[in-house]
Amino acid sequence: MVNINATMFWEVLNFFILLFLLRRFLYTPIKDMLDSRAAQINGDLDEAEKMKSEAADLKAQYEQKLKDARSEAQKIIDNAETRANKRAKNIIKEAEEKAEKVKEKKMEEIEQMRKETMAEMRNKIASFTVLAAGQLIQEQLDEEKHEVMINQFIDELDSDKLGEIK
Amino acid sequence: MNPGPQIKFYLFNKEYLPVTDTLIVGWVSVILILILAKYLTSNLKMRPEGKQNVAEMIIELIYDQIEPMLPNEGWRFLPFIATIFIYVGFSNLIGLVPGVTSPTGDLNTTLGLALVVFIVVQLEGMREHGVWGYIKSFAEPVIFLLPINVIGELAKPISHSFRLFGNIVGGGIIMTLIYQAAPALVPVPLHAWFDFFVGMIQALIFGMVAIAYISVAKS
Repeated sequence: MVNINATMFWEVLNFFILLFLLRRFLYTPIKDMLDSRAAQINGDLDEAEKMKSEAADLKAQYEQKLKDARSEAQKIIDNAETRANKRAKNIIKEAEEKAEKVKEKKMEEIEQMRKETMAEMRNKIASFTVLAAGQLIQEQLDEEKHEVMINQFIDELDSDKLGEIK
Repeated sequence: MNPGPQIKFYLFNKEYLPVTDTLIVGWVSVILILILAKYLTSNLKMRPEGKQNVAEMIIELIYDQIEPMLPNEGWRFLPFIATIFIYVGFSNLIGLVPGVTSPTGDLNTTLGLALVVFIVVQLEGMREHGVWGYIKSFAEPVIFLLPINVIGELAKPISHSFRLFGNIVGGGIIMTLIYQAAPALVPVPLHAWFDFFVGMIQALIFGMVAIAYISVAKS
């Protein structure tokens, strides 16, 4: 049952043949595959890291740009507001000035008209007074005619109710 | 009953070139392993799938056993150690096939492998420490331990080979007895134990011990 013979040599030969062929067909291809996969994964990881840092840089850049654009926009808005305010003030001032001018002109016209009216009235009152005085003086001269004159005056009023004042 | 290897015929009709059933099974094992390896590694892809995963898993599993004991030399020793694992494991498992004797149930196989391991161990020891340095290491820590160390070293291939041989042959003998006592159903779980479980464990032990011997010689 336990006898050592040439089988040992054959089995050792078997082992070495198997070792040689498995190295060729199993170990080397698998190792190459594992190595190349590891290399690829390493490369991919490096690439990913690079891309990540690039992306971070780009992000920072864009954020900076966005910030700049925002402050630029704010500046423009502020500018526009200031200008609009200034303009509005100007417009109001101009309008006020214009209104003041118009008012002054109108006041002058009113004053002018008042003066004219006063002058006219004065003239009319004067002539009226002169007329009335003239008539009074005329009638005083003749006592007898006093009655007649009153009557005549009344008649005149009657006949000419809407007589104009002269 | 004779559980040992049976001589089937003589190569070239020479009395000193007997061909036993275990040797024939050994040849068949080698061919089957090669076919399987070729099948598993055909069409390798960057993204592994199916059978490629199996092949990579086996190789990485064996690599993970070697690397911690022989740091940075995992890939260098992988072909040798992996061939031991695969050949011994397959030889143990093939005993499951009815009427087939495990090649590892023949002392010629196990002793042959153990002697190969023994030679590799000596060569690695000399490679690491130099020829003289390695020989001198047997006389350490004190000179009178030299014979004990030498006997201990020579005992390694014997214990290495007889452990595997004894386990497989013992399992085979027990299974033969069981078949004679209770041929139905009872042998099934026992086959699982003696052929599958013990077979796998012994293959693992044989390979691990080989790694351990190399590691000791290099330290």
